[in-house]
Amino acid sequence: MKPTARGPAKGHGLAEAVFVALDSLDRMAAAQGPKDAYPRAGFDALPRAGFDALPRAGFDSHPRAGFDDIYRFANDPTMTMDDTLARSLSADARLRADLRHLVERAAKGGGLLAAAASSGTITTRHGTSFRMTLRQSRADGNQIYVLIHLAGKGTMAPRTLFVIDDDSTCRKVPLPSPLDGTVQLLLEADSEIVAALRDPTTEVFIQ
Amino acid sequence: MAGIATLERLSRAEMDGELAATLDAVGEATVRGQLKYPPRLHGKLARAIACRAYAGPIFELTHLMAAAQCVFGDRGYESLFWDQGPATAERFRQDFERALTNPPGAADHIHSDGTAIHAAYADGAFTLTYARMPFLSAMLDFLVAALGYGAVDDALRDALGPRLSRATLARAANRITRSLYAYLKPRLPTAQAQRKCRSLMAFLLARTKKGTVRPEDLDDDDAFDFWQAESVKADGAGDWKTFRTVFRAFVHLREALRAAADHEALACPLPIDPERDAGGVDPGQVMAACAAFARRKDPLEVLGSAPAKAIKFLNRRETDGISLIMDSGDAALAMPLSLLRAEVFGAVQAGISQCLRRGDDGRAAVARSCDPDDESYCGRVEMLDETLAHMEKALHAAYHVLAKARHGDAIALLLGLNPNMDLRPLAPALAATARVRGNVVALGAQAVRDEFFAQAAIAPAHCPELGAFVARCARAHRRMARKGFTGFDAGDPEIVEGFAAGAGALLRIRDAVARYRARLDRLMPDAGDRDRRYRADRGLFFTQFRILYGGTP
Repeated sequence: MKPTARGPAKGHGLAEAVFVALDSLDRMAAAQGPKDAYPRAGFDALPRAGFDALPRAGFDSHPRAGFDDIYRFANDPTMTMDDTLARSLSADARLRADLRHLVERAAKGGGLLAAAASSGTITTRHGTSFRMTLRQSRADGNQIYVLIHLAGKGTMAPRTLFVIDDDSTCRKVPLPSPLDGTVQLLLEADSEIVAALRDPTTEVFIQ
Repeated sequence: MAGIATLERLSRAEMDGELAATLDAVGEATVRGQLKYPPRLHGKLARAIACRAYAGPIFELTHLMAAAQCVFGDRGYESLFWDQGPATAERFRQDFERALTNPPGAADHIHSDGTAIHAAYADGAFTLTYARMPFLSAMLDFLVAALGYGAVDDALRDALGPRLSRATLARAANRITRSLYAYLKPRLPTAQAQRKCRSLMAFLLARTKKGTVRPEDLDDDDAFDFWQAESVKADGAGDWKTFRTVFRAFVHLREALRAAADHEALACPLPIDPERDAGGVDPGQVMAACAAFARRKDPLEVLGSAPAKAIKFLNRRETDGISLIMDSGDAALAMPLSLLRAEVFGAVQAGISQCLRRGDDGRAAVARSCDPDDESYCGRVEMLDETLAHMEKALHAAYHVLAKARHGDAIALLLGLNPNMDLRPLAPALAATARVRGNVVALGAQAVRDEFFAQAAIAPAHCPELGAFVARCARAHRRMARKGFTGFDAGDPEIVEGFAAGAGALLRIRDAVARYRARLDRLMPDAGDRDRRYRADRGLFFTQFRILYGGTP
């Protein structure tokens, strides 16, 4: 019945599994910090020198955005990006990837495919339900029209434009109602969003 | 090499912190200003993860996600979990039943009977109750936070489609389970905990010489001798430096051995395999044992959560002073001296650790912590007596509030506080309003309750014991100057519910602390005994502290 280095004594499998689970719960409680009434056992056991200096996941003093937040950002056209969301997305590559996945999933027609112009920048993108064109304003050379043409009368009016670059940084632009089957946006030619729309490596989704 | 070991430990602590933070984020998620999940669900989720009892819930979850995808069509399964309000069984029922009246998706194979959804696949059926859905929703939030939405969604999408079946969903569930196992492997320190368990067992087996260890074999001498022997080993099987850690491990081992005995595991031995999820042990049994363990902490958690939270039954000092007793359950009675040592000398050892963190050398840290005015065993017992007296007063004050609000729980509280009270003088009046079976009056019925409170109001005249109790309660309430007790409004249903929930929990806490206090009295009947024991223990502990931190005895 003696336990060995290879495994527990005969018959003590369940006991060991329960012990391991309780020990794990204790460690988790200790890692939660002062909220737990008796968290010290786990921490006291650790050599503390240098420990406090380490960055610890989950102990950031700033609030963190979670999946609920990016879900609402991806699906609620009225929700804008606040500081918490921007900071969380900037710090967390997985959260950015999840947002991209959500945006792609919510854009029923999938992304708009790019058609490169001779200059190597994009002027037109095509999707199953929309076609997007960038056109310089005749009245003001510093402004660009973004024209989103709906594929047919049955196409639901788009409400949001998402532009995601190659490191999954996401920009969201609310869209006005279409006129005669076309949504029209007027943007500064040197704005970040126009640069991103022209960039062949960015992905564009319309909801 | 020592440096590498330290780094490994730090990295493991970092990982534990990440897992705890991920679980916390699920527990603290809010929807429209409200908590998405009730607080107890967080503990249940943590236990499922720590016990590795997640394969079953993930299988159920894939069925729920697939059903939602079929029922909600273009809105996707996501809308069920993230588009709505707090995750309650009722909310899930309403969402499904509303959508099923005119499902936008292909949901012919799904129907609801008001308590569950039933899905019929070509290869079998599957039923899932609405009551189960909030937990599965919390599991999904945890999976998305741990593995990423993409990983979970991709696994599900591969299962959806024209050949949707139990088998394809089982494959999707297995894929997610494997990913979670890989995620948890470096974050749940299983191997280290196994080594700790085996080192404890080896020590105890060598002592008992019976070839087996039963929960009742673990005693105070075992805990102290184990700490004395193991705390000084730098390369031991566990990190046994603090006495509190050792005591805690003994509490866990008692619990674990009892679970094994309860499930008759000794009759059908199955070794745990660290390389396989849950190995040969049924995770459901592990989960049940951990749930029973967690229930002991429940009363303190009830006091810390709404609605009882609105009333300050216990302050921080009182809560801290009794939380280890509540945490230890029966072990508090089986190893009362170890608990006392863990409280008194555990605090001293924590102080030494604090000095070391500030940069003191070990010998100076021990010397600085050797304060003759430290809490002694007598001081600790006095603190427990004060807390017990306070709880008694708070319970009496709570009766006054509940009786004033004519709340049914007042009667349970009265009987809990006075199990032997002679209420016979009330029998004729109560019997007149109740259907009496034999000589038993059912106090739960509304009419009887109303009559009881009416009688209690005039009790001094014909039921002296009850009259004295009611007067005591009114006096206790007048003297309670804590939040919730002062300025009490009998018409505020939230406060009244807070008193009802809190008083029940406080009664359980008082009983547990009183049992432990009585056990200490049997061990050390008077102050002289406690003082002698304290002085002897102080010598033993400080000798060990000097070896541990100062290098010399």
